[in-house]
Amino acid sequence: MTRVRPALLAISVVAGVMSMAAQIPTFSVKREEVRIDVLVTDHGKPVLGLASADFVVLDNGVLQQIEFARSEEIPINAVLVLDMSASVAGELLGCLRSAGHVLLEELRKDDRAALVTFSHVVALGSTLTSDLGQVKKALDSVEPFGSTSLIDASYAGLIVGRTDFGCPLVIVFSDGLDTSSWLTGDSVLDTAKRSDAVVYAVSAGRLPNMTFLRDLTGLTGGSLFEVESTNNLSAVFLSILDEFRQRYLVTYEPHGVSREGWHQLEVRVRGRKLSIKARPGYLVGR
Amino acid sequence: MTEGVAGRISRDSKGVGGLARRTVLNGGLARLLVASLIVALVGGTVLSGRGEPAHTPSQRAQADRDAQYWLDKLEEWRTAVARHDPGVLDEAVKTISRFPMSDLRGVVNRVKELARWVVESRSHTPGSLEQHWLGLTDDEVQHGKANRVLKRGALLHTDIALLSSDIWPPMLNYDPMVVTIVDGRTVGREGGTHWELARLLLDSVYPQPSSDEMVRQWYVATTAYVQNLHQWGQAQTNLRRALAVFPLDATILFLNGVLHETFAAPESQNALPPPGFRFDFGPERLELRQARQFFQQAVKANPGFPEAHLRLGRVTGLLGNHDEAIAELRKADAALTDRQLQYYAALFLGHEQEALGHTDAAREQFERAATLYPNAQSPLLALSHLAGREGDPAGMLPAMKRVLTLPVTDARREDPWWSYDVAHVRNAEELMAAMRKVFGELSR
Repeated sequence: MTRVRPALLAISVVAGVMSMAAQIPTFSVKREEVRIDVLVTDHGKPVLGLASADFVVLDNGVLQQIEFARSEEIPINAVLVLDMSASVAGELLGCLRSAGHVLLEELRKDDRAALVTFSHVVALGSTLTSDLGQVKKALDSVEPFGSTSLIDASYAGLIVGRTDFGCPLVIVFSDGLDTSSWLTGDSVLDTAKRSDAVVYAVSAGRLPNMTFLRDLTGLTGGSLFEVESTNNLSAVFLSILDEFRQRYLVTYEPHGVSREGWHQLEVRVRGRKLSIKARPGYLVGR
Repeated sequence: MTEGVAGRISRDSKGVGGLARRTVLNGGLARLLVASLIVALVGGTVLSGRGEPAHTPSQRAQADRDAQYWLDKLEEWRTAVARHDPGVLDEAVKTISRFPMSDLRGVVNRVKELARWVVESRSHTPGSLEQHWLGLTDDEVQHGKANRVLKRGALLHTDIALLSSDIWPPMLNYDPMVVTIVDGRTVGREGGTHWELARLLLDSVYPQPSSDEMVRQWYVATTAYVQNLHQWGQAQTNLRRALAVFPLDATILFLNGVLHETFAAPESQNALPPPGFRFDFGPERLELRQARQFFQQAVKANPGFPEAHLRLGRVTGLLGNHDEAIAELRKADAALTDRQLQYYAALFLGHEQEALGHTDAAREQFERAATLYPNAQSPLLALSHLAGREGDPAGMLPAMKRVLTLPVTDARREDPWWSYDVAHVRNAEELMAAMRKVFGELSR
């Protein structure tokens, strides 16, 4: 997860002042902060207990000073982007709803969730909310119809997941190829490079061309799951959540690099040969 | 589930020296036709099924039985043609749709030969067997015209192709193979025999099909109709012949352009053919170039064809020539009066302006599209994305909020972008009805 944005502290101070006395002028100090979600594993097993000093981050080849790295107690903003096109009707719909419920059940008190559904129509089932009952209700009320705007919906998921608090986790589910989107895959990938969301995608059935979802998940540091059977969809959703919870949130204030353009990232754990999964970079400006 | 794209496919095979060679599976029917023609006229006017002379009594008896068989079949076909009501799933449709493939081809080949005889034997005395078999009037025979029977026959086979799927499964051995694609996967095969038979009959129209407006009307109406059903494979086969007959017709050139534009779209490009086969279309850029070529020819044939300018502008932009695309789109935009087409023009102009980095002009066009169709999500998504491209992350949200507060139900979410692939044939039903009316008015 990567972003350049105002610091969390500055925003919370301003919000607090405004709630007390809106007429008092307030000032916020903006500084840029990059956040990266990092999964560290050793032979497939998550490595926990690392501290800021354990991480090495190169931004366009320039070593950065890590300010913050932790893996627990960071609220998750889970955005479910679910295919509700006609082909989902029937057994698959039941599996999908069930998987959504299971995932929502596993969210914690401070976590929030949102629901974006799509056929050719991209629709907001629920905004980001900690009222998970509302999200479940929205999930149960959607009926499948129409064709597939996977790319448009993925874009909507990235935007809905934008938030200054918590870690945005976008889970995209689809069983078909895009047939109706206006946006192109490349344009959404461009947005993904500017987003701090981590996208996981689940594709039911072996589709002929998974390039878009593969690129989207790769660019955001997530993963693509291709499932033959949807009977175990709940388990897949849970494994995504579990993996996401094991990730470290690494933050730094970039220095020694120009602000605009593509920033290639390299993340390592100091002195150890461990597997790292993180986004390959981020984009700022035009 | 996505809507299906039916594409003609070809098989990869190894050629001489082990080099990959592409064998297009489209010659089967034509080869059989040639073979039939060779044998059809043996024995003069006797319609024998075999080409060997009958020497022995048993051979002669067999030849007589064959001739009678074909006479019966021909009579059955001619009666069905005469009785068929255009667009109706009547007994005529059911009867002929139950004919085995060999009988269908045999009958049509004989009809064509008889029609040729009528033409070549103009001014012959009325009352021949051929006249009887085709049910022609004395006047028709004297003027060498069997067109009425050929056209009514084509109408019958057209209606069988369109109406008989419920009563007769598609032929599996039809060549070229046309497949149905759902969600990028092949789910079945389509029959195309009756389309081909209709075309074969129209090929024999006198003096030549290319000078016959009804034939042209048939090609335009049927192509529009199958394109509207997303039967791109059938449309491709139809258009191949249409183009050979009417190479300079603006509408047929335009329909060809749309076909290739569709083949360039991700829905076609990302589809998965059956194992061992490949689709009978090329990679994206090749298809776009072909589409552009056809649209260019269409606007050359008919400069006052704004919809062709619109699509020419779009594919030109997709090929990366944005300035040229904008010029074409503006030309279209100035002439378009249809709201749906104006919407496309605005969307595409916005897209091209964005590609050139003209964000204000792009925003203006996307806003115009959003005004034309306030419940359409595409221009709002475009506006949101445009803000992001400008490096204004905060600006992405307002347009997205507009998308997410649009009505959820499909019926109230009118976005013409979703039907762009068939927008050019939104009058397909009317075209088909008009064609059926004209063909149906021919005497029985």
